[in-house]
Amino acid sequence: MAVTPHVTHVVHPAAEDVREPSRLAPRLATLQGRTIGLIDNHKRNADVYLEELGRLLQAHYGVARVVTYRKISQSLPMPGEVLDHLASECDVLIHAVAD
Amino acid sequence: MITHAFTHAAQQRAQALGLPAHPVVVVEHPLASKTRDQAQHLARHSLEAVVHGLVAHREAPGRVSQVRPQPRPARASHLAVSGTISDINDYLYDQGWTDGLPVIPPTPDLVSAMLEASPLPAEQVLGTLPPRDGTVTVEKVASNAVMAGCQPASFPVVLAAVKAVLQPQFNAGAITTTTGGAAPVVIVSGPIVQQLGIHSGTAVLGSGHRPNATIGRALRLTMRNLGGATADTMEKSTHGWPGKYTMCFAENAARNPWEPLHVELGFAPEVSIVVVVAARGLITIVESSQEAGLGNLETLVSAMRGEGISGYYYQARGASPVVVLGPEHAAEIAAAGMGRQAVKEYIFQHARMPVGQLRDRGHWGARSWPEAWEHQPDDFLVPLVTNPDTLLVVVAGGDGRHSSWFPAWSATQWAMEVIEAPPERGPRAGARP
Repeated sequence: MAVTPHVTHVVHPAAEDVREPSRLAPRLATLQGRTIGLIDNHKRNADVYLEELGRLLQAHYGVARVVTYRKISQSLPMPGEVLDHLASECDVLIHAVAD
Repeated sequence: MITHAFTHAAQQRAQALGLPAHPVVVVEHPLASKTRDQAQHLARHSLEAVVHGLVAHREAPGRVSQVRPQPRPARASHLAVSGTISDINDYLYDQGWTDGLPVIPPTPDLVSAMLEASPLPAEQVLGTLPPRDGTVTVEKVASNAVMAGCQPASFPVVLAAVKAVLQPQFNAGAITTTTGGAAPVVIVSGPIVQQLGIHSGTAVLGSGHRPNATIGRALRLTMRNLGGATADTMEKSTHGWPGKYTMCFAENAARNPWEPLHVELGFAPEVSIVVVVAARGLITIVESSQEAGLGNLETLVSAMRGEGISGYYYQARGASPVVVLGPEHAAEIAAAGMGRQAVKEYIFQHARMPVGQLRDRGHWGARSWPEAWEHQPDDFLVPLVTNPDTLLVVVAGGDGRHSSWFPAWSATQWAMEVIEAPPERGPRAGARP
């Protein structure tokens, strides 16, 4: 005689959220004359990497201005008001580095 | 910009934010140990990829993720699983929902029994846990508490601990994703310790005590399953430590020579609280030669110094190391006329490292401390914490000449919550209303 497998119900223990998809901001047509924000998360060499990147973007791609922000710690979230300020001041943001 | 060791974590986080196509530039790992020239070379090497991410249209106009948003149901769904309890355990493990140890399947009846001991309704939202940003409901916590083996009587403590880690200054998302291997340490103080039998004596930080083992485990399973940081996703601990399974203990009220911890922290004697800190591990010292209280403290503090202790580089956030004095050491320290505050002052004054010894070691490149220290001579003594009240001193454990300390994970601050009483019941405690 076939044995029916015993079925147990369990209460889903994990996240069931389905994130609302967000749309990426349109990519820029050119970096010429733009302002670039660089977010240094305070990991060692993030500043060196970003400084060089900013220099190259200005030298070779016509970036007009580079704005740098250094986080107090890589392990702390960006304060919302700082992010809002950078977003209003800059055309794009580059965040580095893990790890 | 990330290094290749973080590729998967970055993709997962982008997914959690609803931006799976977010541009990411990957460079060779690890950047942190490269020379200046090498780091600049990597910048040059990644320049084109960075520009491509900024100016190339990665998505056709109007195209977004295919995932359709759905309202989150107020109650958890039920899953049907076939087979024996062993098969159910295999299923839960395969989903990534356990810590590797067997669990009790969270069946609806067991979860209901847990919820009957809850001071809060099942559907109440306590917050969201990063990095996956899962919504934490009381019912979800109850499901994880069942899996952890909790008895319903312990559930109010679990809820208080979960509410504590959801406080913003605790920084739960970074704690579960750091390479530093942080785990929550739950300290319980107040009358509930005796009521529930939360252990505070012999082998207090070891195994064998159900409330301790299951309360800490329920918190960790909740963080794992609602926060979503697992080793194949966003958990990046280089090592981690066994506190990631569970770590919960109580102050030894009978052998604490001072006023209770929760009273010292400003609560009434009849109130019970949890204090949750994030720790990188546990270090136990022996001092069985000194008889005076000060000798015990000298030996303890000598084990709190070292170039590899991250707290010396990271005072900015005010993270709290926890010192657990064994009752014999505590009694001798008290007999020497020192109160808990004097112990904190002593540790504050003596747990220090010369800045010259810290330079170019440990987390020097990412140090986060008062600006004035940048200009100090090499013999300037950097304190482990900037304020003695940042330290937590607890008396716990059994007989023996040992004390311990938990080095803090640095980008956190402790969180406290009052343990709310379970709902009133009739004469038959725990019966359905």
